[in-house]
Amino acid sequence: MLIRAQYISKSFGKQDALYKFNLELKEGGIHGLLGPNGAGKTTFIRILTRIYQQDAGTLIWDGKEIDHSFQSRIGYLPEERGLYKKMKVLEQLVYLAKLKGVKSADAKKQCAEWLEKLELLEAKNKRIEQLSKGMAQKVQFISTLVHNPDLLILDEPFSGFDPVNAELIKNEILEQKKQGKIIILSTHNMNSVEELCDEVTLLNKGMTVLQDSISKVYEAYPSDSYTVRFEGNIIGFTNALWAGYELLDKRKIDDKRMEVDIRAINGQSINKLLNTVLPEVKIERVLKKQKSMNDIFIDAIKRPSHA
Amino acid sequence: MPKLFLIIQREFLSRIRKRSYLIMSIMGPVLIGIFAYVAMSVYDQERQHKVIVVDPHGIFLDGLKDTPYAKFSYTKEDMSDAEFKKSGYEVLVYINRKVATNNAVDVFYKENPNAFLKADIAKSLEYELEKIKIELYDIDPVAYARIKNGVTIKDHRLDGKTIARYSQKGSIGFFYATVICFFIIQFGGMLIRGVSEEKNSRIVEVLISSAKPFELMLGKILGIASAALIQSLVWMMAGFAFVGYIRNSYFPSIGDTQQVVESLNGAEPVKFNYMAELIEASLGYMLPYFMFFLLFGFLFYAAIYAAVGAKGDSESESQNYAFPITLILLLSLFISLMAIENPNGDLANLAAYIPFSSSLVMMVKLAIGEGTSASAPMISGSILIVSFLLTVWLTSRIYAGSILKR
Repeated sequence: MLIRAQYISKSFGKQDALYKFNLELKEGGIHGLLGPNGAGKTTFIRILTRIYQQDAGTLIWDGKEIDHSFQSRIGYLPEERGLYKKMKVLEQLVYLAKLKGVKSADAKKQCAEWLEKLELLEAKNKRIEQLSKGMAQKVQFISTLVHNPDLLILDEPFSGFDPVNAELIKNEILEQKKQGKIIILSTHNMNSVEELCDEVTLLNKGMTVLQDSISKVYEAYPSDSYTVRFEGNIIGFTNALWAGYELLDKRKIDDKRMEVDIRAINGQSINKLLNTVLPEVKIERVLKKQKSMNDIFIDAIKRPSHA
Repeated sequence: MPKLFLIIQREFLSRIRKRSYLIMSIMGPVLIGIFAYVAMSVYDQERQHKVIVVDPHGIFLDGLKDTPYAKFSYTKEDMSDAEFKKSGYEVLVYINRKVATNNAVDVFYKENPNAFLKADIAKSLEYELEKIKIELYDIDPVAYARIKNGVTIKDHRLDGKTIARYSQKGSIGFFYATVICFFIIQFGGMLIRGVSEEKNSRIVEVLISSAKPFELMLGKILGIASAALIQSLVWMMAGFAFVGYIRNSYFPSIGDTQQVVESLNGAEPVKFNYMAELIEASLGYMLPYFMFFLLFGFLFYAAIYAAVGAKGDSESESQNYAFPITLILLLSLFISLMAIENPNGDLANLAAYIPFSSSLVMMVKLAIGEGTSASAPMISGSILIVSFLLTVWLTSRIYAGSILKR
């Protein structure tokens, strides 16, 4: 199962919301769709769900151009949640499942199973307006999955959940991944991207800034920060720092030992620093700090030219 | 189209399960019942009142004939106020000796009289007084009758056809047009609320990722229209039942005052309500047209109301947008009224094909019949159906576009 977006462009008036966007999605993978507000994430999602029609480019799913008939294979959790407030939980889920092509009897059975799984069975006859925000979010999440879609598009899936329920949702997303679903995760929560995603695409102003597997992204954005633990005098250590390094932080471990965070400027090698400080202090350990996805996100957006 | 059916079903069920819908479905007939009861009470007053004619000089003799509102009795004995109060009579008519010259008659009532009774007494007295004066002044009754006769104007058309009197038949058509107009105004708001609800709850994004906007919009309109039609059907049935009851129970005793007086000359008094009879008589011919234009006229406007619901940022803003639609409807109703007198004029002919007004104006033209070809309602109806579908398509674009604007 493979979804391929090729040279997708969409503009609203004179503004390009998405420009020559390419993406390949494979089954059993979670793809993070990242970018600041207005980057084009939602535009792409809406094109994929056939809410919008792209101005140019093709969307292919298993060799076929994606049209409205594919809607039943997609489960979409939009960022701005919405349910019929006056409708009862089970009735609403069954309706949305049937709209996605599930047969009536199957829809009732599947909805009841999901409600039980997410501990909502007792609320099945309550109206949405009678539920807490978290419970309503769970109902919305069920409505995304109840028709057993092949492609899951989750826009900020953890917003509105307490940590316990967020964990429940995270596990369910991983379960869906195990089942071989294609999952798109659009979020500003970089922790969840680091935890869940196999690949990421970073968009800015409608254009792809970076697109790769998580490991390669980390490689592409190597860290220039280190944590050094040593025995000796801090003054001796700092004196040894020359213009190529910046002291970020320092911590006292005990009477003899210190730990410092430093950053290499202009790609200076850590070896040079170590050679310089070794006569002054006794080095215990040196750790290269991993750049967080959040830092990579900010760095990538700030870079003058896009990759 | 199973998705369309699903949407229709949801919209229909969610409407008819609403407490307000149930309340209005029950309250409607109750209100009609109250209205009918009030009407019955009014008709109930249209009974014969006992009138004593005190005629000491025997001028009128037994001349005054009973009317539906007045039953006359005669006495030559004068009656004091106290005696009148004690008596079972409700009205006392005192005929003075010089009545033929001073043209004055005193009438005493125990309570405030209704207008019909007063008119009956006045007409009866005038008619009888005329007869007395004819004798008194020795006027030839035949000559007098000739003088009193008005001018009979005979209209002719050059092509030899008779000139039809449109007003009665046209009024029946206008009655149907009014029902359609008020039906649209009454239930159009449901569409605004329905679309606003989806827009405000943001469920629309989930829906549009599951079905085409055209399906969603068509389903919504048809679902709400079904609920509206059923409610109005309940109202209409209740209305017909009450009106039928009133007509059967009360109308036979009702007579047109003017014609009752004419009946003094031997004409049969009117024993039925003319308008009700005409509506009943027209039903066989008009009902299919009425149902068709009611349905599609409503659907066309429903699509416009839905567009208004999609365009407005809030329900109250949408209600403001709805005002011009109501004005267009009322203008169409006004054109229908004009069409009663000029059903084949340029305005009526044009308005009968414009979807905004066709469902109303066509009612008047069809009721009158003449000058409207058999194909006219079919052409007008086809334009209405196509316009409805086009409007739904346009509305679905607004629905998707305005709600999901970046």
